Amino acid sequence: MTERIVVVGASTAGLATVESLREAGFGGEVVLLGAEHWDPYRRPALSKQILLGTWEPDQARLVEASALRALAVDFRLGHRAARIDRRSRTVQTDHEALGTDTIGYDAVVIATGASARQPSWASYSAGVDRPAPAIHLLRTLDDALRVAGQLVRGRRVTVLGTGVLGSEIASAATARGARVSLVGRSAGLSLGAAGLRFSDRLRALHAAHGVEVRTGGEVVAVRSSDGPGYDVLFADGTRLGSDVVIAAAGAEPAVAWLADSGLLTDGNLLADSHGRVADRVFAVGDASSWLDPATGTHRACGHQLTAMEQGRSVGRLLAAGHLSPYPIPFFWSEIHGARVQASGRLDIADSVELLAGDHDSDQALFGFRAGDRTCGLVAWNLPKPFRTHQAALLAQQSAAGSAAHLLETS
Amino acid sequence: MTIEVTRSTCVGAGQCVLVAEDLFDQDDEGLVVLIEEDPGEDRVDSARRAASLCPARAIQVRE
Repeated sequence: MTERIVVVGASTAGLATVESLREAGFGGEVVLLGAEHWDPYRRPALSKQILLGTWEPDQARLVEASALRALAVDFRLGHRAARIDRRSRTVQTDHEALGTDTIGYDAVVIATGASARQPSWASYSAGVDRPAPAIHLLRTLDDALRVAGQLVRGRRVTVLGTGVLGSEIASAATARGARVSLVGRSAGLSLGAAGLRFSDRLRALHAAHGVEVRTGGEVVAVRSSDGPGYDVLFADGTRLGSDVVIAAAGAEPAVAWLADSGLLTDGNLLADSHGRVADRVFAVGDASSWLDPATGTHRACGHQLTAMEQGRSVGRLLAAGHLSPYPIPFFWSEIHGARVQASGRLDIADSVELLAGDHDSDQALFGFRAGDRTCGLVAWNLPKPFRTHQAALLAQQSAAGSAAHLLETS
Repeated sequence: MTIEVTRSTCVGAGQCVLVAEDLFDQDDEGLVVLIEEDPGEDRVDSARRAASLCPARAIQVRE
């Protein structure tokens, strides 16, 4: 019988695991380890409301303090997991002031999330006689508060990264009155799993708000300039003057602490389609890649809703032995006031069709198709048509999902 | 049971309306509108389901 469950990581996926353990009736001991010093918070708000300055940190909390207490878990903030020893079934933790500790488990759920990727050149950009400039990353609430403090009217802000996060940061910085450049190596601007399909739309949106977009330009270094601020240096020899440089070069699973655990495959924490990694070991959220039953490949999670659903799935499995259906991806974004909603499998589409709205207007709904069936949706400022089509997509996927589930368990 | 929605957190995904259209609606911007703040106990399950499906965790159900 499982007496003590240790959940390593107190963000979206870790919290959802703990909530669902209790909801599904687990009465044993639950330890929740959080490396940061904040209660669980909404990560998607970091690049939106927190950078814009419209929310205080407290508004980003995922759960009220009272609701957190009501879960009756041993919640340890500031305890970073350092190691797992599967033979003794223990997790070793490290705390800045309190030092190391060892906690035994009957089952452990790894939910350590992801870390912002450092640009590859950042290590050697210190230059000859000047210190390395501060290149901001955006992953945690502390990061976001630090970056928000830099977004001052009139400052030259360079955002490195052509993905959704780069676009969101550029949008928030513009709204705060900064002069923004958005640069990256990629040929265009991407929108998550939809890839470059909306690059022109994103370019037009940024252009309309005065963001200078420079794609296809490889940054080789950032140096202190002779005047105020920094120079962002490109491979072709050009430079871009900046007061603030923010890198949004993607994220990678935060699993380095598992290096000697025997749980990693080529550096990845692979789980089956219910979050099982090994005997008594489970993984949820951005730290892990779950097996996608539809394709037979492992996929990273990447979005808040998937992290929540994976957490709930493992919580129910551990508490009650229930297997849950594989989560359907959903993400949203806000870029210069445009509301983008996306669901389903955008990555496997071979064609895209307009379902509602207009190609040339700011309102449009696109259906992503794989062969003759719809596999995903992307809406620009059309929430109600999105909902209607989403209902059809969910109905179709749940029919397919229950068939796949039968196959798997038969 | 009482339901609370946080409109500043809502992202207009509409999942709540899909599973409980008698409790939730969306305004023209897609943001959640609560129809029934204090529905009967027979609707606890659909309220809870809406709360758990909300990608932004903008719905709280208290019993």
